[in-house]
Amino acid sequence: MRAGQVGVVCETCLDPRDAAMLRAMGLRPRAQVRVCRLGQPCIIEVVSGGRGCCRIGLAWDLASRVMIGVAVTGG
Amino acid sequence: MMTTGTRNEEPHNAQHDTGGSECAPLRAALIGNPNTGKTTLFNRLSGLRHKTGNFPGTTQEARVGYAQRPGGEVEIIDLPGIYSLELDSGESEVCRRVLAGTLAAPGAPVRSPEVVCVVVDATNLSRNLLLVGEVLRRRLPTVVVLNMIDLARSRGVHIDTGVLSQELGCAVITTSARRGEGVEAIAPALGEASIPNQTPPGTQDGLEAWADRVSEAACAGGTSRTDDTLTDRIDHVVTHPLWGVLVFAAVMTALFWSIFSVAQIPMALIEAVFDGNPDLVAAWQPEWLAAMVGQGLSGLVRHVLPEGFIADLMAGGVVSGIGATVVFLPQICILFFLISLLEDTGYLARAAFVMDRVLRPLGLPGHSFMPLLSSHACALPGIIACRAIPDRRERLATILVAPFMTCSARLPVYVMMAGILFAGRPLMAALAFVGCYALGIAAGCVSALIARRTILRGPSRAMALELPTYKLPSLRTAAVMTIDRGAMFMKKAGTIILAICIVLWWLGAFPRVEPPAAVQEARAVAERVRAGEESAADALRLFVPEFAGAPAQAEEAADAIEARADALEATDAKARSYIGRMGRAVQPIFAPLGFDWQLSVGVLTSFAAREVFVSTMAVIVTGSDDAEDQGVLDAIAGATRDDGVTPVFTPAVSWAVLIFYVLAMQCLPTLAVTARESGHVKWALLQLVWMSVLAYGAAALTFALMS
Repeated sequence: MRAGQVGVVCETCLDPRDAAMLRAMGLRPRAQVRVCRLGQPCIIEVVSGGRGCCRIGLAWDLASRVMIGVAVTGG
Repeated sequence: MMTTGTRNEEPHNAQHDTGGSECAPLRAALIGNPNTGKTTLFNRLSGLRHKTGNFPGTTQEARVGYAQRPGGEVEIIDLPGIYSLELDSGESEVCRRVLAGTLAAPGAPVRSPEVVCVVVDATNLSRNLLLVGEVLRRRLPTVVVLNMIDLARSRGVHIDTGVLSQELGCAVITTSARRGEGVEAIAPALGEASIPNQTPPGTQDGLEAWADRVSEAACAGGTSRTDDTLTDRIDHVVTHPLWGVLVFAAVMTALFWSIFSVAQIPMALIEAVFDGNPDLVAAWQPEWLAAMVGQGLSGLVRHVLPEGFIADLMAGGVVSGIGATVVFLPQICILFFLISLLEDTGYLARAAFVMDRVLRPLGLPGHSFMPLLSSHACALPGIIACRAIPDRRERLATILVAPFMTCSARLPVYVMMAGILFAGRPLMAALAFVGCYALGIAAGCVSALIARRTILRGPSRAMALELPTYKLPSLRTAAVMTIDRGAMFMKKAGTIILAICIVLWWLGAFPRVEPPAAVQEARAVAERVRAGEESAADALRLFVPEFAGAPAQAEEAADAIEARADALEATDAKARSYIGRMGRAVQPIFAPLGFDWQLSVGVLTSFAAREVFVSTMAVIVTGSDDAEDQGVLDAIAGATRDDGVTPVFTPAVSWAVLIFYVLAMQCLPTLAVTARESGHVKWALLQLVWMSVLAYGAAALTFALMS
């Protein structure tokens, strides 16, 4: 993905502890995300339920294990 | 604004369950996601009426505040910010146990809270409702506080609190804690809270669907996705591999420059109050007060109390001990005030990622940088700042290595030893200084690596942080945080430091011994010189040979001889005191480092605080503790061993002393704070043993190589 692109979280390949943490932070299956910055850190904006959003910074180790399906090409 | 749910079929008012005691305040647990403004809200509700400690058996901070409500008082427990009650983390466990009534703040009776107050970020309702759902499932009277409502409105998000209250089955209050709007409605609502009759689904999938549905029902307006290009741009710069580091360096430079420059003034004042500084106060105080304050509080105590043991104990032990603690307070307060402001802006979360790249290979997270940098001023605030490190192993590793950083207390030792080693060569002295800093950092890095691969082995958790919205910081929140941290430092560290200072004072002041014959003879000669019965020149030649030959009046000569007698008496008393005897007893242990008994006494007395080494050496060598006097420093540099010929500070010994003080723990307050912050005294002992062994080994090696 490129910075500015919007997508939907498809799946994550994380250890259960990290997966539970990210899910509680809003990065859950089918959550809509926008990539704000790629690299270390990867910054994504998570839109949860269409009624709120937050920015999450992810170390590249984590970000590379989150599969996102590109829905709309932005920016 | 407050809206109460209307579908409660099982009225159960929080006011009815105050633990069976009419006197017990209503207990409310304040819970919420990180970055929801929970701490700001807590400060608004309780102001300064709160106390801070750790939940028993944990390293999680417990803040308990009090607020008034109609008909009584509310005891508010500020729980750690969490995303879920079900996570495998220390914070979530503390929240679970407090809600279950199996854990309480220190000193409070263990019982369930009568009411739970869930703080929700109105700009991110759906995600925050997950935690609300988990709380509702626990069937406790609940109030939901919809905070940052002003920000949500500015983003076009309108929340129907009536619908939300109905969906949740509990009262919903809208607030802007930063502006203080709506906060006054919280305490009364806590007293009237009821058990909600809504029970959200138990599965994660079901809970997420429920949260989305409730959010959709209560919210009007478009998506709150910000498309914030300004935030994107700022984030791009402050997390960039190059620009991010430069911005971080600039911010940290400004931060620490502020600490050092601003803290100088209150620190000088504190030192003047405790130790006396006639130059500072005499110019603008009335003469009688200037004379009193000029001698410091110790002088004041001696002036008020009758001469004797009690006066000595109060002046030499208690007042000096309190002074040794209080002098750190300005740095600690200023550091936490500025860190709180920085954190509030939203920048620190980004900075953590910048430093994560540097520290990750050492097994430390980016969060560690701020505590380690703070430790260059003083390890105490640095260790306290480790609370921001979420992972336990990483937090402990940072606490263990923080004292390796060169703190300001090491500087007097560096100044003295660099002056002895490189007298008249300022460039070399400066390079030695830089080398000491570098050695401390290197020792910390290696120690962290070893700790993370042995006793604190475990996976390094990749960093995932919510990046809060950029905003102007709250001075009120920073001020409350500063007072809180300062009071905590004084209460906990102060008591332990004070006790040890008194013990060290006693060991150094007792047993009382008669002055040696040489001292008595010098005083008798001084009296005879003053009375004109003996030649001033002859007496000076005998007792103060460096003044011999200089023309002197009888009065001046007598004063000089008495001053020399006082110095000799102080040196003799120190040598024959318990700690002096201990110094002689342990000298064989320090022999491989080249230390004689005088240096061994210096090491022992500076166990509580490194900088005491310089004044101890000054007392032993010259009888004066004015270590800033160049004459005294020269005397220390030229001090000889008992044979009167061999210098105490040969180059090899001087290097060994320098290396020893770069690496040794030698700071009792740090050990006390390590024990408290790590949750167990064993970590403080490990820190002491590891640093002492490393310092001893490195100093012995240095001495062997240089010899």
